Amino acid sequence: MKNANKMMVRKGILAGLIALICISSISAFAVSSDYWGGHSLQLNPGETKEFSLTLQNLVGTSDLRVKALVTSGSAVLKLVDSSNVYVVPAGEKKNVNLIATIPINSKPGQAYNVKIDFSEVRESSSGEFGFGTAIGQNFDIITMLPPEQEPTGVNKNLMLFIIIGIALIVITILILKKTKKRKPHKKVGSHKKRKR
Amino acid sequence: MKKGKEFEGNKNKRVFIFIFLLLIGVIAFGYFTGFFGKITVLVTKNLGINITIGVPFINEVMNGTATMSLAQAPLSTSREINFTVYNVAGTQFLNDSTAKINITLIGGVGEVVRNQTGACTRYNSSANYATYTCNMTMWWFDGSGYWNISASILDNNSNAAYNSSTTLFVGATTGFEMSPVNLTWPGMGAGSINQTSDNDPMNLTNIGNQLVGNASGTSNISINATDLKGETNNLFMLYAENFSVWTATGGSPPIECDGGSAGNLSKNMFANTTSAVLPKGNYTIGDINTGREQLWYCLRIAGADLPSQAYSTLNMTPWTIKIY
Repeated sequence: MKNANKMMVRKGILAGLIALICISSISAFAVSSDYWGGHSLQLNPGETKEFSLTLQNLVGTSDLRVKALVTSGSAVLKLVDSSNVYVVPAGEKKNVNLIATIPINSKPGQAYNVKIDFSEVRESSSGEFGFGTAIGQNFDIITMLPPEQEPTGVNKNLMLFIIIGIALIVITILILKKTKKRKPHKKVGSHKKRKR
Repeated sequence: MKKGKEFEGNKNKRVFIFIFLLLIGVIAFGYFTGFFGKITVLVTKNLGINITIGVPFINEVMNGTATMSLAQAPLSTSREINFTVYNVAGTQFLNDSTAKINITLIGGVGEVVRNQTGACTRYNSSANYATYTCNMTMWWFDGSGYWNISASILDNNSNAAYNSSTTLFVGATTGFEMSPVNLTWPGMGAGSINQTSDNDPMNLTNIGNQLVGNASGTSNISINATDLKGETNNLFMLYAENFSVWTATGGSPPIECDGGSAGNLSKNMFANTTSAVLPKGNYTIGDINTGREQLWYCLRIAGADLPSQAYSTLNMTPWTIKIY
């Protein structure tokens, strides 16, 4: 009786798994990006940038459904398309649009690690032990150093002009004083000469 | 006479004061109008210009930096690169067949220099200027980053013109191909142990230009497993934790059944397959290690109480292989 039951289980599982043999195929998609680990997106504090990553289904023979999700860094990176499920027709590409915003109070050099996961949306049929594929796109968004501030240059110029101005005034005063001192001396000398 | 001298002294003094006041005025004017900012910034640069009459000169390549992304494997990606040559003696003395473009990944280790002899043609020409367009082919495994473009041409007297001032930015392409996408097992009974799949290995192929994982054990290839529920009675299932995976097979018991590199896979959690690495490269050469990885699967134990029915991912999400 036990043996008979075991056979039933064996036959049942076998029947379920045999169905899998006929439906094996290939899954392949790719994501293109201008940013990756080691090549970060650089933004100024408070700056916003729109950019896109591209889903490729160039060699597939059937349309591909991919779900995009920002799994890390959602405070600075958001998906902007109306749906986060993208249908990429066979042999084509599709852009995934994103917007990155760095907080205004972000410190220069501060890095925000962001990660976007792209998962193939796939449903299993009866008898399938199915697998899907997913790609995680990971990079940093870095706060840039602020551009050299204009007031610093103005202050430097101001200091230079003040120094030059003061120096000129001092020189003028000294020269005037010297000429004043000489004046009475010359007059006394001329009186003496007259007396003789 | 004295009056004349005094008058002369006062006159000098006035002139002197006038000049100083004028100077102060000019300086103040300069400051408040920013006039000095325009004339006091003096930049001295040493410019080395070699002018040799009759030798060609490439004065422009591509109008600056260009950007492109590569198509997934096994496709190639073509890119037109233009450059303009000036020849004072006339463009009729340029040797069109020597027009050439090389591109090299800056800082790239082990990267191929891309060049194609005969890929450049003259498409525009005047008395002294000739523009060439070159069709550069790149492949899915060419590295991401800045590629230096070197354009060159000879004239009929073998005088060379060379320009490498421009770069081409190539983005990252991340992806892999997986086959098969469904695993099968031979017939087994309740309580069976160490049953390996009969249609593995699962072949993973890098179809992009990014290295996935590294030899020191950082895999970046992970598996999210789910239970395989019974299709008739879903209260019974093959538990995700009872499966294991390894990058090799063989031995007794089979190595993929011995805990595996992903250990006991966890339900609804990505488990890193620590020994799996997907290097980038031209996998079409047939070398098993170039751009490829293989995964072998094992069902370590099937519950002794499992009833006879089909077990599948029908009522659960499929397992997911993720690279990052």
